[in-house]
Formats: sequence, structure tokens, C-alpha cells
Amino acid sequence: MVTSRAINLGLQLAAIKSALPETQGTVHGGVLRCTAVLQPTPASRRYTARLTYRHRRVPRVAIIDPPLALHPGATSLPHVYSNGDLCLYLPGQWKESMLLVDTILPWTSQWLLYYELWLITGHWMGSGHDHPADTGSLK
Amino acid sequence: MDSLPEMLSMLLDGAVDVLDISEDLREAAVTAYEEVGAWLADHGNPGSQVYPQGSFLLGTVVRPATPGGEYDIDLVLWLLLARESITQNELKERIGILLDDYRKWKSDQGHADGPHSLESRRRCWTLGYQGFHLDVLPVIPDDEHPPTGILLTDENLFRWQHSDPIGYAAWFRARSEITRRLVEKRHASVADVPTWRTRTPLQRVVQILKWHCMITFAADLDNRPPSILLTTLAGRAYDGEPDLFTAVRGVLDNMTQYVERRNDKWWVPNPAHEEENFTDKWNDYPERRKAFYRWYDQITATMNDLASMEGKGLDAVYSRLAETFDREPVTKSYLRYAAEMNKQQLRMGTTGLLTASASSTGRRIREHTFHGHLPRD
Repeated sequence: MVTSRAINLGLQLAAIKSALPETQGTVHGGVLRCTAVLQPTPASRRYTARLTYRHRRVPRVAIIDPPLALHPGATSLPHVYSNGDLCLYLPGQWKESMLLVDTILPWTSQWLLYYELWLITGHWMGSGHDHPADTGSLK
Repeated sequence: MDSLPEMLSMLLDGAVDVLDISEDLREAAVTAYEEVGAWLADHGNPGSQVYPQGSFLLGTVVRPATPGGEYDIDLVLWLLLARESITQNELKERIGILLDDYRKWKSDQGHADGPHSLESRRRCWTLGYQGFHLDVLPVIPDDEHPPTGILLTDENLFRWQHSDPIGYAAWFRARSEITRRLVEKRHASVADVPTWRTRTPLQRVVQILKWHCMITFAADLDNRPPSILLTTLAGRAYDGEPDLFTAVRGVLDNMTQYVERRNDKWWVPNPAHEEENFTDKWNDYPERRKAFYRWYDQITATMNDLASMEGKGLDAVYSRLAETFDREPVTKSYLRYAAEMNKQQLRMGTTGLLTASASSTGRRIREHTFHGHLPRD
């Protein structure tokens, strides 16, 4: 059986910094920590996302700035775990042999795009389940 | 979408597309008026013609914000008569009789697609159909301005007025086409020149101005600047800019300089007919001129606000658009954008910017599905 190998954390971070030059990050004690600034569209806000990743664990992403808002009538954010991390993919779609910069970070940017659209419509218009806000229906 | 103006252009284009006439309705209207024309020619009116004028001919139709939202389609009914042979009143009456005969004929034939109503308005007759009205304006040839000049009656059915809707449309089309020439100069190969799906940037600019004006004057119809005035000033001010939002701002920057003073009168000439002044009413009703400038200041402020919204949030841009224009077309435009982003293979640029274009240099993003549950760690 061929198993693809996990990509070295230093390499992961170098790839992120090369593609997203504003990224600040470190690899320390087997943990990659970085903050990236993401603006999915020219009209969108500039969000600061914090990514934490160690081998054999799932990468965790949270938006730390600006604070995320709720659609009027919604009581929670769509596609977010109870700890505030973003739900970005289905099990099996991300592997350690993939670059975070081609997966987790752009998926975060997409998440932010659909989040801003959700603020307007109350519907999640990206892939995955819709979590309609209670009063967010559209005419 | 690499810049805010491009993004705003896409959102405004999508919104105004919702208000444009659908292809089906457009075809139904063409079929309806062509039949009126053919019937008239077959029933003792040789040389008569029925043809569209105004926004339907120019491609700048905007759905009115009235209940039902039926489109008004302006037509010219041209009878081959000499000016001396008929009075304005007689012409209007004669065309009323002809249209009534047509309606009866349709009904006698058992046709279900005929007009359901015929009403007299001041200068024209209105045929009602499902989803649109045909406003039929009686005219005769203007011998002094051949071949497309026409004479129509004034609102009091007293004097003849000169006009030339076909000449005007030719002028407007030529103004629209300066985009193509400009874009061709910027691109090395003609194959790179974008083709606009249905409307040119100038047509879209006019639709946006009309839409904003319609909303601004919803409760003050008497003072609403006429569409032909907005269209003329926009056509004069337009410099060929292909990006819609940038074009709107450019037109707003320049349009008021085409309001002239001639012999102490406000004057915006019909580009196809110097004797027709589109600001004639301003000279009798100064409040209409003030209303025009009030509207102009409002739309300019809105567009300036929008231009400063880089990084403010898609939702904040939505609120600004929905507050100025109607919510429904703006929402539909956003939904269309979301659907488009879902379909495309996206790339990510150096600031997290998502782009759909194949030629952009960003990194290709792997496919995924947003998940709703916590995967096992």
C-alpha cells in the first residue's frame, strides 16, 4: 500500500508565506501557528485568520478579527464548530500530503465569502448543507 | 473580480438585468406591433408604418415600479399624409378608429392574442396586452427633414412638433459603439475584445440612471426628468469606458456640461434634431430644473459612496445598494453572483482574493465541501 507522506511543517509555512506574503507564523515544538489576512473579494473585509496545525491532527482555523456577526434572526454561525473553528471540508477531503495553502487557506477565504453573503440572505450559498437562519428567507 | 469597480459593475449589471425586458416579452411585443402594422397596411392605409421608438428601440428599457410592473413600449404609427390635409385632432381620432377596428377584427377572428384594451391618452393611444402596453403615437412625415423626420402633435393637439426617433436611435447606437473602438485599441487581438451579452455599457448606464430616477421621483412624477433627457446627456458624456461602474461615474462627472443656455433658455438639443429641446419645460417650470439637479446630486453621492467601500464588506455594499435602489433586483444580482462563484474553478491571489478567471495568476484551489459536523480528531 502506498501512503503519501505528510508534508514537513516548515515547508507548509514557507509555501503559505510565499502565496500570502502578509502571513506571520512559526513552527515550534511540532506545531505550525500562523495568522493570515484574507479578503475574498475587493468589497469584502480584510479578515485575520489563525491557523493551528500539527501532524496527525486536523488543521484548525478561527477568524480572530474582525469579530464575526450574525444574520438578523440567526442564533449561531453556519459551518462553525462549537469551539469557534470553521468547518471547511468533509472527512477525507484534506490529507497531510496536501499543502495548506492550496486547501485550508483558500477554503477559509471561500468560507468568508459565503459568510458575508449569509449575512445578507440568511442562507449558506456555498457547498455543504444550508443552515437557513430563522427569519432569513428570501423573496 | 480584481477591483471594487469591477465588482460593483457586476452587481449593478445583474440588478438592472432583472429590470430589463425578458426575451420572451420582447418577442411578444414585436409580434404584436408588427401585426398592427401589417393589418393597417392591408386595410386601406398604404405606406403606413408602425415602429418602436424610445427605450424599446434604444435597448434601455427598465421595468416600471408600478403595481404589476408592466412595460410601456412606445410606438410610432406613421400615416402617409400631407401636413395640410389633416389637423392634429383629426389625426388622433382617425388613428383611434383604425386601432378600434383592428381590435374588433382580432376579436372577430377569434384570436386570443389581441389587445385586451384600447385607451385614449393625451397624445397617443394605448393598447393593453399581457405584461406590456403599446403606446401608439400618431405621426405624419416631416417634409422638411426627410427621410426619418416626423411630425407629431403637442399635448394640446394644437401644434405640430418635429421629431426623429430613428435618427436619434442611430445617434445613440453610434455613441454606444465608441466602447468597441476604444477596447479594440487596448487589446492586441480582436479576439480578446469582450462581447456584451445583451447590452452595451452605455445602454446599462442609461438603465441605471433611469432606474435611480424612477425611484427618486416615485411620488413626484410631474418633476421627474424625462428619460430622453437622461439618455441624451448620458450619450453625450459617455467616453467609451467599458467598465460599467466607472462609466456611470464618468458620465455623472461630465453630463451636466451638456446643458446649454441659448437665448436665455435652458437647452439640450435632440442630437438628431436641433429644433427639439429636451429641457423646454425647464424654461416654464423652474422647479423641474431644480428637481433634476437634486436627483443628480443624490445619484452622484451614492456612486461616490459605493466607490469608497473597498474592504467594507459585501453585506455593507448590499445595504447601500438596497437602500438606494430596490431590494429585490439587488438581492437577485447577489444570488446570481453566489451561484456563479459556486460553478467556477477558483484561484486565490496573494491577499486571499478569489478569482474565477482562467487567466488569473492565483493558485488553483482544491475542491471541497463545507462540512457541518466536527470530524474525529
